[in-house]
Amino acid sequence: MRTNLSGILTLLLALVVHISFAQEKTISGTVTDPDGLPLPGVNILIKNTTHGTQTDFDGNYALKANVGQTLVFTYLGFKDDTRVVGASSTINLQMEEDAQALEEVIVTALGIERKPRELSYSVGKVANDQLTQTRAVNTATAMVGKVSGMQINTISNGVNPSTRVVLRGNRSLLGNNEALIVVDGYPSSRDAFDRINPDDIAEISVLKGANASALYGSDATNGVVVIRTKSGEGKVSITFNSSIQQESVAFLPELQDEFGVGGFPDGTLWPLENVAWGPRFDGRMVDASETYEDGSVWQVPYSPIPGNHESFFRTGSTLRNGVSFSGGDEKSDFLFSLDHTLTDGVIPKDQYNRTNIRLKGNYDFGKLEVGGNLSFFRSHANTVTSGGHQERPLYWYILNTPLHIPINELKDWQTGKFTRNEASYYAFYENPWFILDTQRAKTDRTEMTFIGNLKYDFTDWISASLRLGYTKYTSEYKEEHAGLSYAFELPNTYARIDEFNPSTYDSMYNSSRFNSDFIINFDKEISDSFTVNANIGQNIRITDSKSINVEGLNLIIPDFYNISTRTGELDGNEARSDYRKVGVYGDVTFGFNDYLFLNATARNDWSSALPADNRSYFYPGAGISFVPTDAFEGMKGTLRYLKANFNWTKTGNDADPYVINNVFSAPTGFPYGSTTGLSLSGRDPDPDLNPEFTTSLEAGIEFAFFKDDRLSGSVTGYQTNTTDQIVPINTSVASGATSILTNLGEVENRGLEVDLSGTILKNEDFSWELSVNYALNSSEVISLSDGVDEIEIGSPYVDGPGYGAVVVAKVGEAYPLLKTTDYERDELGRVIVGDDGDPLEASDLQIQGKTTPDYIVGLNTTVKYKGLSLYAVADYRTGHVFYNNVVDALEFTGLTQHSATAGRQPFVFPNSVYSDGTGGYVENNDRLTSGGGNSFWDVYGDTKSNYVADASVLKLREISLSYSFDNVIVEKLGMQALSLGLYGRNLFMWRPADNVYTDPEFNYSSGNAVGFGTQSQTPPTRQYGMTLTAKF
Amino acid sequence: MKKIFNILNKSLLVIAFGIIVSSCSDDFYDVNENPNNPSISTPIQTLPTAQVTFAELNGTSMTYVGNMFVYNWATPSNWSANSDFFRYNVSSSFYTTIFETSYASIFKNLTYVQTYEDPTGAVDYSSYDVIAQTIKGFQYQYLVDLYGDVPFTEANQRAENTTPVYDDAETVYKSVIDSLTSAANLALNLPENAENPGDSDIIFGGDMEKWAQFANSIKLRMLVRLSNTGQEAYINEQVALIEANGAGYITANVVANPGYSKNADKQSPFYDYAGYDEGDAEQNRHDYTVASDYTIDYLSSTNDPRIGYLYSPSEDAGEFKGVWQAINLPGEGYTSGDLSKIGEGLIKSPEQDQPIMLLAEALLVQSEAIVRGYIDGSDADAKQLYNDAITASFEYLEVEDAATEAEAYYSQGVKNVGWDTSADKIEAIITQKWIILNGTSSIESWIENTRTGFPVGLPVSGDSDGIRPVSLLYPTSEYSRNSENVPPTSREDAFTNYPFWK
Repeated sequence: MRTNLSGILTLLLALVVHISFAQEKTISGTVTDPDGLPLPGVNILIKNTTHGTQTDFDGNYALKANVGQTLVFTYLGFKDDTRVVGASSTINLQMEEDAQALEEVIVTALGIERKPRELSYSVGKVANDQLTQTRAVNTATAMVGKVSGMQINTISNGVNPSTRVVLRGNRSLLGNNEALIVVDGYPSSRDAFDRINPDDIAEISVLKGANASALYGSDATNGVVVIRTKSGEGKVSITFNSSIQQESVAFLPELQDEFGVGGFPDGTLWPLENVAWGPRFDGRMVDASETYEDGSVWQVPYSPIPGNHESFFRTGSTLRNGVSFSGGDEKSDFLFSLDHTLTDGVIPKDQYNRTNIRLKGNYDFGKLEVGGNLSFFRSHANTVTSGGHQERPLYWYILNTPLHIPINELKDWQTGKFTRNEASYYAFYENPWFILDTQRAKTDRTEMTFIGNLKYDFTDWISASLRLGYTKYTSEYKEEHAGLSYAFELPNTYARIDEFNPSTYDSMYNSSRFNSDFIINFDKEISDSFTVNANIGQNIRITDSKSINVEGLNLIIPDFYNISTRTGELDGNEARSDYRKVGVYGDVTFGFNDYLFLNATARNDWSSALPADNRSYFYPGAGISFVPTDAFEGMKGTLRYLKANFNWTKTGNDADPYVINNVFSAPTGFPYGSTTGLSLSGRDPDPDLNPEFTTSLEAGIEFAFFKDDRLSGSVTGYQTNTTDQIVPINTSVASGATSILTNLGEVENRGLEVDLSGTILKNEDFSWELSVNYALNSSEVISLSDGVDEIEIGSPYVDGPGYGAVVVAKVGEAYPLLKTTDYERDELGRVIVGDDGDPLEASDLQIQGKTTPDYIVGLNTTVKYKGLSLYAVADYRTGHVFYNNVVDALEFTGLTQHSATAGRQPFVFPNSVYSDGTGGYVENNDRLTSGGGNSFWDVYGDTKSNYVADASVLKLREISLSYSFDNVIVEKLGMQALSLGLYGRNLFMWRPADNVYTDPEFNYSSGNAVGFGTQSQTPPTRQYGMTLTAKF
Repeated sequence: MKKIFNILNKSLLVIAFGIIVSSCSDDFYDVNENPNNPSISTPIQTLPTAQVTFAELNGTSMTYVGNMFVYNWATPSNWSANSDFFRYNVSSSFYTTIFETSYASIFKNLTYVQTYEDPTGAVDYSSYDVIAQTIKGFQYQYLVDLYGDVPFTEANQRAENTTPVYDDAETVYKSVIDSLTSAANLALNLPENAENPGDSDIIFGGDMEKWAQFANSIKLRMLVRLSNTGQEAYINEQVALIEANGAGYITANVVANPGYSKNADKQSPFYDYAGYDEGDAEQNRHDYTVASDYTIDYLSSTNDPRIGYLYSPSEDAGEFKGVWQAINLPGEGYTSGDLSKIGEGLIKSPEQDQPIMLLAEALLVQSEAIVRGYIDGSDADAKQLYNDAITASFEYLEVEDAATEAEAYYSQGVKNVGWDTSADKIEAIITQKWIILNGTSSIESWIENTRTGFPVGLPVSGDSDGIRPVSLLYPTSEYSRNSENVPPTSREDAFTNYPFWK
C-alpha cells in the first residue's frame, strides 16, 4: 500500500515537475559502485526515448534531459536503477550490485545468449583484455593457462606458429581431437583461431564438453571455442594500438664441451671432421679450412667457443600496429579494424607479415535486424626450409658445426677465401649460412570470410534468423632450392659434398566453406514462474578444396626458379575434395522460477561422406541446472550463489570424404612412358561404415562467496566415451592390406576441473585478484578390435633403420602412449648388460609413458594500483613424457653431455645388472662397457628410451605491466584513453633435470601423435615488448 | 519502408524454404565419388605395378642386404653408415621392406590380377594368372629362405582375414613348387580367348613360353635348395614334371624394364639406388658403398677381368682397393676417394634393364643339378653349363671381348675357376655364383652361403661376434598387428634359426 502510494506520488510529482519545468537542461553526475569506485561504461538512457550516453573512465556522465524524464542506469552485474530528473542538475548514483552478479550473459552455441544459471554444462570465459595484455599475434597462444581443461601445443615455433587445441583430453584415436572454432556463430576452420586478430575479439567462451553438438553438429564433439567479435558502441572512436616486441632464443640443448672433432679411432684429431670423437680441447691452433696449393690455410684455436651455436640466431622483432574505428547507437553499430604485423624471426632472414581487416555492421529496423561481418586475412612468410644434399632442416647444420669453429665467421660461403664452399670447413654437411641463403620457402595465404545475419521478430516471442557464412581460402607455397656447384677444386681435400642442381616446388591450395543456419526461436513466459525457450533449426554445410602441385628438378638457370626451366619430366599432382552435410536440430529449455532449468536437445545429420544407407544419424542430449541459493530463501549468507548442474549428451560423427571407397592409384614413377599402371590401395574400407558416437556425462557446481562475490569458482567432473570409432586399423601386411577402415574401439576420458578466482585485496587505489584453474584428465583405451591390442597412431620417422619411436593406443593404457626401442630390463627395471658389459637391446618397442599431462594448473593474477596494473599468467603441467629427435643429431655428432661423463672410456652402465647364470640378476659394479667412444655411443643412440624425458614444465607464460594515464591528462590530449605497457611472454621455463633438450610442448604435427618434437623446430624463444594504446 | 520489410520478410521465408527443399534431394549428397583416384582397374593396368615393385625390391634392398652379408661391399671411413650390417644388428626393424613390400605391394596387386573376373565373361585372364603365380613363386621362395614360416594359405585376403596364420616353411615351399608346375603348364596351354598382356608385361612382353621357362627355372632353383634334406625321390619326381612340359629353362637374362628413364622416380632401380640421381649427382649410397678388401684380393688373385666391371678404380689413386667391414676405420687411406666403388658393369645407365634372374645363375643351378644327379647329364655337360654361366656373366657385365676373356679366365688351372682343377664341383659352382651375383640378385649369394658354406673363408664383419646371420627377423609390424600368429623371435634367431632345408 505504501509502495503504491509513493508510486502515485512520484508520478504526480513528475507530472507537476514536467509541466512546471518543461525545458531541457544538462544533467551530470558520477556513477560509482558499492565501494565508491567510479564505474566507467554505465549506460544511461532517457526512458522511452533513444537518447542516452555512457559514463567515462571516471564514472562521469553528462546529458541533456527534460525535468520529469526518467534516467535508466544499466550496467552488467549491477541492478538497473532509475532517477527522475528534478530540480538539481547533478544526479550521482551509487549502483547496487545485482544479487546474481555472476549473471552476465554468456554467448553459447549459435550466438544464443544464456545466463550461466541456465546452463547445464561448464563454460570458460576469456575477455579481450586477457587476450591482448601481452600483444600475442596468435590468439590460440594467448589462451594458454587461462581456461581449465584446455591444452594448447605449439607445432612450429618459427615466425608463423601454428597450434593444436584440445579440450578435456584426446577422444578419437585417429580422427580429429581439436576443438571447433566458432566466430560470431559461424563454425570456422580450425586455422581461424591462429589467424583472427586478437584485438577484434570481445570475448571467448569455451564450451568444454560435447554439449553444444546438437547445435553445431559433429564438429562440436571436442568442445567449442566460441569467439564473439567486438561491435561498435557509443560515440565514434578511433583506437590506435602499437607494439614493438623483441624475441630471443631462450636456450639450446646442453652440450659437452670437453672433446672436440675427430675420432677414427677415438681421440684422434681430424680438424675438418664434423663429429666430436676427437681429443680433449687444448687450445692448440688447428685447421679450420682446406689447405690451398700454396699452403695457405685458416687456423683457429682448438677450444670451444661459448654460445657458438646460439650466436647463429639473432634477436627477432615484431612490429605490430592496429587501428580501429567503431561506434554505435540504439539502432546500429559498426566496426572497422586493421591490424598489421611484421616479424623478423630469430632465424636470420626469416620474415613474416600479416594483415587483418574486419568490417562489421548491424542495423535494427525494428522487427528486422540485419548484420554483416567481413574479414580479410593475408600473410606472407619467407623462411628457410629443409635443403641441402640430404634435405635436412637448418638446425641439423647448426648442430653439425663443432664448438671450436666460429660459426659467425663462415657467413661468406661465396667469395671468402677460406669460407667459400670450395675450401670451407663444411665438408660433410653444407654450411648453415649457405642453407639459410639458398634454401627458401615462400608461403602466401589469403582468407576472406563473410558472415551475414538476418533476424526477424514475428511476435515478441517468436523470431526467425538466418545466418550465412562463407570462407574462401587460398594458399600458395613455393620452395626454391639453389644447387651446389664449385668454381674450382682443391687437391687433397678432407672431403667435399658432391655438386647438385637447383630445384623448385610450387603448390596451390584453395578451399571454400559454406555454412547456413536457419533457426526459429520461441521464447515465452508461460506464467510468472514458468518459461520456455526453444530453437528449431536447420543447418547446411558445404566444403570443398582443391590443390595442385608441381615440381621441377635440375633447373638449368641458376637462381631462376620456374618449373619450365627444368630438366626431365614434370612431376605433379592434383587433389580435390567435396563434402556436404545437412542437419536438423532442436533445443528446448524449460525454466521454473529462474532457479530450475531443464534442457533437451536433439539433432539428425545427413552426411555425404557415409554410405547411403548409413547416411542419416541421430543424437540427443539432456541437462538440468538448479540454483538452490534462489530456491531456498534462508540459504544465502556467506554463500551468495550456488548452482548445480548435470548434463548428458551423445554426439555422432561422420567420416572424411571418400574414405569409404576402395581405390586404385598410379604409384610413384608411373607412367613410365607408355607403360601405365594402377595399384590397389593399401587400405580396405568397410563398405558399411557407420558414424562414431561420443557419449559425455558432466556434473558440476558453481559458487560465489562473500560480499561482491569476492571468492567464486566452479568444480566440474566429466566422463566421455567414444565408441564405434572410425579407425583405420593397421592390419598384418601379409593380409595384402596395410589397414582396414572400420568402426572399432572405445576410448574413455575422465576428468575434474576446478576454477577459483578471488579478490584478495581491494580498496580505492589498490586491488589484487588471483585466479587458479586446475584440470585433471585421465584417459583409457577400453577396447580396440578382436585380436588387436594396440594400434599405431603415428611417428615422425619413416619406416626403416632409425625407426625407434612411435605413438600408440593400447588397450588398458592411457592414450596417447609413447613407445620406443629400449633395453632388456630385470623386474626392478634395471638394464641388463651382456658378457661384454654392453646393455642388451630388447627386440620389441617398450612403453615409455603417456604424452599428455596428468594435470595442468594455471595461475592468473592482476595487481592494480591506481592506473598501474601488473598481470601475470603461469602454468604447470606434469605426468607425461616426450621425445625430441634433436638428440639424434647430438649423439651422432658426439655432442651429448652423457657421452663425455665417463671421459670417453669404458664405464659401468648406470643402474645395470647381469645374469647370475641361474635366472636371476646381480648388480653390475664391475663389468665395463665394450667402449666409451664413437661406436659405443652410436649404438646407444639406437635406443631411443635413453632420450625420453619428463615433459613436466612450469612456464611463466605472460607478464605485463601497464599504465593507464589519468583522465585529466588524457582529456587535455583530446583523447578518450591512453595506456602504455611493457610485457613479456615465455620469459621463464622450469624443466626437470633430465630434459636438457628443448621445450616439451613442441610437437611435430597437429595430428594425434602427441609427444614428438623434431629438428625442424628451432630452439624455444622468449618475447618481450612494449605497447601503446590510444583511443580518440 | 514497410514495403521493404514485406519484401525482406517474404524473401527470407523463400530462402529458408528453398534450403529445406533442396536438402531433401538425394543427389545433393552424391559428391562422395573419389575424384582423385579411380575405383576401378583391370589386370592390364595393375600387372605392371606389381612387376615394377618386384623388380625394385629385388634390385635394391634384397641385393644390398645380400651383398653386404657376403662381404662384397664395405663402407669408407668418412661415412657413418651401414653400422647395422657391420654389427650384424638384425632386428625386427632391419630391412622389413623385404617382408612388407612382398605382401603389401607385390602380392596385393598380383592377387587382384589373379582374382579379377571380366564382367562380360568374354575375356579369359589365364595369362595373368600364369605371371602372378610365377612371380609369387619367385618371391615366396625368398620369404621362406629368409624368414622360415610365413603366411601363405590365409595371406592376401585383405579385410576378409587381417591376421593370417603362418604356414610351415616346407609346406609353403612345396605348395609353391606345385603352383609353378601348374603355371608352366597353363602358360603352354592357354584358352583361345585368353588376353595377352602384351607390353604391359614389362618382363617378357607377353611371351608366355618364356614365362613357362622362367617358372621351370625358379622351380629347379627351389629343388636344388632342398639338396641337404635327403628328399631325392621328391626332387627327381618334380624335375620329371619340369622336363615333361618341354619348355626348358630360361635362355637369356630375365630382366624388367617398363621404360626406365632419366627422370625423378623413373630411373632403373639399382642405378637410382646405388648410382646417380636424375641430375647426375652421385647418390650417397654410391659414395659410401665401396669394395671389400677380401673380394678385391680374390678377384685380382684369380686374374678375373670382371674386377673392373664390378668395381671402379679409386678416384684418388686409380687403383682397385677395398677395405674390411668395420664401423671405425683409420681416418686416413680409407675414405671414399681412396677406395673402389661400385663399377660400370653394374651401374650402366638410368635406362638399364633391372635383372630379376641372370641367365648365368640359371645355368649354374642346372650345372649343380647335373652334378647332384637331379638332371641327367655327364660331367662334360655340367662343365659346359658352368663355362657358359661364366661367359654369360662376362656378357652381362659388358666385359670387352666377353667370350674370349671368359674363356681365358675359366681355362686357368685355378681352383674354383677352372672346372677341371676344382675337385669339389659344388664349391666351384657356388663360388662362381658369389662372383656372378655380386651386385645383382645378391640375396641369393647369402642364402647359398648358408646352404653350402661357400665360398670357403669368406670373412665376417670386424664388429660382429664372428657369426654370419642366417635369417631375418619378422618385422615389428607383425608383432603389433598379428601377434597371435607370428612366431616369437629374439635377436639370437638371426644366427641360429636356419632355413628348414639347411
